Amino acid sequence: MDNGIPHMKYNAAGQGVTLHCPGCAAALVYDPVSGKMLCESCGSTYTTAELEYENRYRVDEDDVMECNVYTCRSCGAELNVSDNTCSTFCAFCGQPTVVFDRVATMKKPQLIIPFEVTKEQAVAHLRVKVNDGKFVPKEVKEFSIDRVSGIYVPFWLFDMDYSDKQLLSGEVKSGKSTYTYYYYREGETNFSNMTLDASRQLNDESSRRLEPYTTQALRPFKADYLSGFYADRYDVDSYELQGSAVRRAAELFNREIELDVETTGAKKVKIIRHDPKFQINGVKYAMLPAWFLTFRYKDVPYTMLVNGQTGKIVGGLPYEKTPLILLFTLIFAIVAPIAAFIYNVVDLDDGKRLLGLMIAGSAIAFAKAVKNLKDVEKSRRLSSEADIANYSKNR
Amino acid sequence: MSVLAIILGIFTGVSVALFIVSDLLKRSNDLGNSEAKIYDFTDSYVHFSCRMNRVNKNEFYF
Repeated sequence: MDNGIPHMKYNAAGQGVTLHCPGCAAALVYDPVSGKMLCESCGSTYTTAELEYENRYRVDEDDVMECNVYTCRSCGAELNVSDNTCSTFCAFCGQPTVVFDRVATMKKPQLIIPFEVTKEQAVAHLRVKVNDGKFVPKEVKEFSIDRVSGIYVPFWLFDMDYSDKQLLSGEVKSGKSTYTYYYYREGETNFSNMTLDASRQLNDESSRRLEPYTTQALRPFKADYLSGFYADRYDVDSYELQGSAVRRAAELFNREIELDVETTGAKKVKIIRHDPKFQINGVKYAMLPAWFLTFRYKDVPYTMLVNGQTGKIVGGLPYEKTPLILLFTLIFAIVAPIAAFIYNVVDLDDGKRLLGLMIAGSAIAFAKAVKNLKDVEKSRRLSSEADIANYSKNR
Repeated sequence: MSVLAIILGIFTGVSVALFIVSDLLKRSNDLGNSEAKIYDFTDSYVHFSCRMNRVNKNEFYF
């Protein structure tokens, strides 16, 4: 069925739109560089106003959209898509096609940040980071990408007023003694568009590391932006995330209070008692862009994330143990004898302070080293987990 | 050289070497390990309505 505008193609129910170039009829994709719809065949670009297709979506109300079974408009294939998928490429002919899922009525995203980083830029950024890595294996530096997926990840954006009055304790050193003092702080802040990921399939740790997004770039949602990319619908309701939103607001707020008390010279600042209050003023549903790049090392898939707006790269790279062990041995061979010599020659009475500093410093260095290694291993595990590889694979 | 000095020397050597190696490894392989800060979600930081230092904790109950 043709609605009279030559480049528009619809099924009998008016759903499942492939956008075609008015010039050469090839499929159109959304181009993050120009912000327009691009024909990759003839290079022409069009704005959505020029294409005049947005009002062809059937919507019952302003904030919902109706979804139907997906069929590829280009080759006629029926695709097996996950229940949460809103748009996808056809697995058979590879054409980009906007898809609506099987739920009859679902909440339409209110806001979106369109992709600003292209696929080529994302891959190039990653290559630079990987090549700069001193302990990245050679095979990884020469990686070939297994899969690149540009995915709009669903987020809930919370607007919240948060206030607290806190009594805190802190330790202040004076000479050889340490004193505990108490501090009182009362304050408030207004959180705007605080992001919480609304997908169970993508782990929260990874989605938080993708942040921050510049939320000033949020635009009213238009389905045009989805074309050429994958998108997921939320599967965590906003009310389920309210507790997480309040906890996150509390963490950020408390950290600022702690930093403020530390400016007085206090260390080990702790909350003794407090009386937090919050009010959630609004929640919005938004799609935020991310690139998922997967490569394999020793038959294990590693998925690196790239923030589709800022280009921030997130993930843990595999590492080779041999250069680490060699470097460790070299540094140990230099430092240990010097330290042992100092411990031996310094008089216990005169050099007590120096010895104390060396031992305390060593303990702190050891604790930090253990934390660093835990962070590295945690990142590497997050990037190599099946969940994150499948999040981009199941498209 | 005393045994204690040797033990402490080994401890210091291990700590320093482990710290340097782990720090370089983290910079090399752990990408993007940071989260959003408060100023990413607010126009400004916290508006303080009251700041008191070195108070008597027994005067504050809530």
